[in-house]
Amino acid sequence: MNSAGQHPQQLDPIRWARAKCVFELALDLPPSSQEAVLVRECAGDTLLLDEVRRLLKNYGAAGDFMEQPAVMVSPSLGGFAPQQIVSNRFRIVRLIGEGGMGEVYEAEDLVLGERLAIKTLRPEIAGDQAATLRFRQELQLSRRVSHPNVCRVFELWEDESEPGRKMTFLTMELLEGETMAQRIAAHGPFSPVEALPLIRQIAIGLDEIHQLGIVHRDLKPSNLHLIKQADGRTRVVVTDFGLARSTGLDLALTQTGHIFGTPAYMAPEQFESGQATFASDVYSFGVTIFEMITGRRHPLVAPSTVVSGLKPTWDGALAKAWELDPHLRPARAAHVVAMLESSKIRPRTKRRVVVAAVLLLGLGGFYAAREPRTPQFRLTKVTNDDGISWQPSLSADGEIMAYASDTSHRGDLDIWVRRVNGTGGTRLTDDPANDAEPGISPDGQRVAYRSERTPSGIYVREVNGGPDRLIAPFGHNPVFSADGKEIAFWVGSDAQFLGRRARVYVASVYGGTARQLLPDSADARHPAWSPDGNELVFQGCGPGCQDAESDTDWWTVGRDGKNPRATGALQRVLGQGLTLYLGPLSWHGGDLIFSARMTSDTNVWRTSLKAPWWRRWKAVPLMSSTEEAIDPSVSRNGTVAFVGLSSRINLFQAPLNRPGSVEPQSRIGNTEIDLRLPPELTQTVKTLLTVR
Amino acid sequence: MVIQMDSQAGQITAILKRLSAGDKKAADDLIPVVYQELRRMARYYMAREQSGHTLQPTALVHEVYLKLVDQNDVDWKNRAHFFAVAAQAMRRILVDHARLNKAEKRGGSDRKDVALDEALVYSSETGPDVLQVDEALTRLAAIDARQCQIVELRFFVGLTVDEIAEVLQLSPRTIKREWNSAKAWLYGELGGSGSGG
Repeated sequence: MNSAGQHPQQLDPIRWARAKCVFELALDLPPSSQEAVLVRECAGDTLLLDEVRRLLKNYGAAGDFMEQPAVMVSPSLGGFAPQQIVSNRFRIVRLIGEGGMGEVYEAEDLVLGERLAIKTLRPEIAGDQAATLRFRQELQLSRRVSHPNVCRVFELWEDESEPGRKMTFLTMELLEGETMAQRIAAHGPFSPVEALPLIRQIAIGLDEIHQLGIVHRDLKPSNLHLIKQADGRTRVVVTDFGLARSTGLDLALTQTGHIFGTPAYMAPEQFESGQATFASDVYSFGVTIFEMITGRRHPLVAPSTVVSGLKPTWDGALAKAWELDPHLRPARAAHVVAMLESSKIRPRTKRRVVVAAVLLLGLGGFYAAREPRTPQFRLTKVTNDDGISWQPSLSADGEIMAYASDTSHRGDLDIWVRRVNGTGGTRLTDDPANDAEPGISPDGQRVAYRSERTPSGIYVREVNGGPDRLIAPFGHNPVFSADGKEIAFWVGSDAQFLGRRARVYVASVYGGTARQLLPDSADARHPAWSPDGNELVFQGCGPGCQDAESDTDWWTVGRDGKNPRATGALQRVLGQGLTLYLGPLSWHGGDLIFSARMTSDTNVWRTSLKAPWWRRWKAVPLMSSTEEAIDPSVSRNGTVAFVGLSSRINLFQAPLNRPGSVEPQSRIGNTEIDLRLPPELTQTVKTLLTVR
Repeated sequence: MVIQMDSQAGQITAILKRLSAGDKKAADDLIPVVYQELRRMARYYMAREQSGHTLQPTALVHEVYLKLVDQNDVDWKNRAHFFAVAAQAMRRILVDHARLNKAEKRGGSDRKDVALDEALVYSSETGPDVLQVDEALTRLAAIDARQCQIVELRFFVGLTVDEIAEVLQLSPRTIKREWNSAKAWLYGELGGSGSGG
């Protein structure tokens, strides 16, 4: 502080406060009377008097000293000038804009006679040898991308036409037209119909880049160019990809704490750690879609809350792209688009499941409350096998349960039957091929199931013995009607949800030909019977359906195939932000019981299916989820059996006689049994899970 | 249904809250972000402007503020802290650059404008020496921190007296008085008449 040396009158805060005070007083006075006041106020303090006199004098001389802001924002003084010839080859046409790395110019290649873009590298980047090396390496990769939705990159050049001023620049495809950001700024957000074809192209471009192992790192509307084509369509081109990392801006990050990228579009982990991955690009893709649709960048909310009438699929797709855990985001941009365009329902594949156990949930009191948010129930763990036991099906009285298990032969599923309150189960089938997906009859006397034996298809067996009877040489998930006389099942695949339509069949328990419930134009899967047995509910799209994926809903239809009607319930549930877990449905009272995922919790949910509108409520979860809960089956008296899936089995204490959900502390002594399965079984289980 | 708040605005707001709570170190976390954003925003603006056009830094800082700070958070203190930090960031940009230039010993340059970045320009012909201003302000801060802040807001951000009053929640009259004495003092410190230098 004393370095200047020419300030012997160093002030302390108190002296300065006094000096200021006298100075201000004097300043309001005409110069002629200032001196007298100064002398009076300083009361013999000559240092103070000198200081104030100096202040007054300087004030008079200062004029507009420091009145102009120090900095002006002004066009760059560097870069190239129009008409300048660069590297003896390129003539600069005009400055197009500025990117993170430097300026972008339109230029003419005098050798090839073509227009192209020149992007300069800021001197601090170009001057860094290591950065330039990385840049060249990345350039090698980028040059391999040759795709209409990705900006083509040509060569790295150096120009020293001005002595002592080396400019490094990159030649690349010249993109005419505006950027997505400019377009949104000028015309506002896109309608979903306008946006979808563009979003699709962004996804294709992004996935193309990812395939080469390049992370974009800075995907946002200003890095997307919209190019009007001769045929009137718009081509979207992804630009500025990957270059960031190699340009040494990572280095800048570690050295100065600067963050590369555009924070508003960055995934949380990218913002926090600077680590960009394919998953963080998917996040940025989601933010970009959000901005395209809403015209906003934040806050990131369900887009349907901003744009009225937006299909709930948009909410679901963006929620997935914005998952905080990068691993939960769609692996590819195309998957986000698939979710947007289709029913956005996750095929039941790729589960992280290791162990399944069947759990039972009593719905006592559940239906008593008008807004049953805090159901009272008992949770009982039914199976204690160390194998996989799942796909429960309850009899009407809730006493008998059929399920599939590999307890006897690891990896080979058979059908088991047990009394819910009894100990141990009885193996019903013993075919070496898998027998699974059982549906028990209401009286608990027979079980229909899917078998992989030859011929594969739907079989029925009496619980008390007797031969297997083939009902149909195809089909999945057989379910008995309330009177036990008919079995409904479906043909198709959830894994091949795109394109192929599924069909629901109904067959007599006593044999005969299975009848297709709806015409071929319908898509129908996962049927369940109404409590009275006169109707069925299915997931899909009714007769004459145009777009089986985006129009998917829960439909009801008469047992005879008449009066198919969309309930709107599935669309409502999806709009609530749930991701449906494709699997069996149960119709209980006026409600549908199903498994779905909200954020990362997979739970059993219930929603009103046919209630009049004033009695409808949002879907409510049956538990505070301590398990991943799937495959619910409901008895007529309101007991729900479901499969709790996790890598550990949580034991649940019962009964739970207080309102509220199952709390973690209701686990017995917090005991968690960590079951480590032999690798071969784990493999088998995985196979089973992905095959379905 | 709020899925997720804008994470970055949230973070900045959190840092501002720490500042409000008296955590002086928080400014150190924020300055680099604001510094970077000021430069980026400046480039962004200038890329859209006709050449020859200039922009007041105030507009720039406002843009950065809108971008970086959660707009649902209306605590004026956070706003004041943000502008204070922006002013410091701006000061640092200038000082960093001046040091760099000095190191390069480019003596004899007849350019009156010095590019700090692609878009930020400092007029060295009409403006005072930045390094001297910086040193003087450091001395001023030791005896009058608030006055130093006012100078920073005025000189580095280009806020008007009324704007500074709003940011600092003081009366414009107070700001004007403080500015007058600070200006007079700085003029002396920077070699104006009366300093003896």
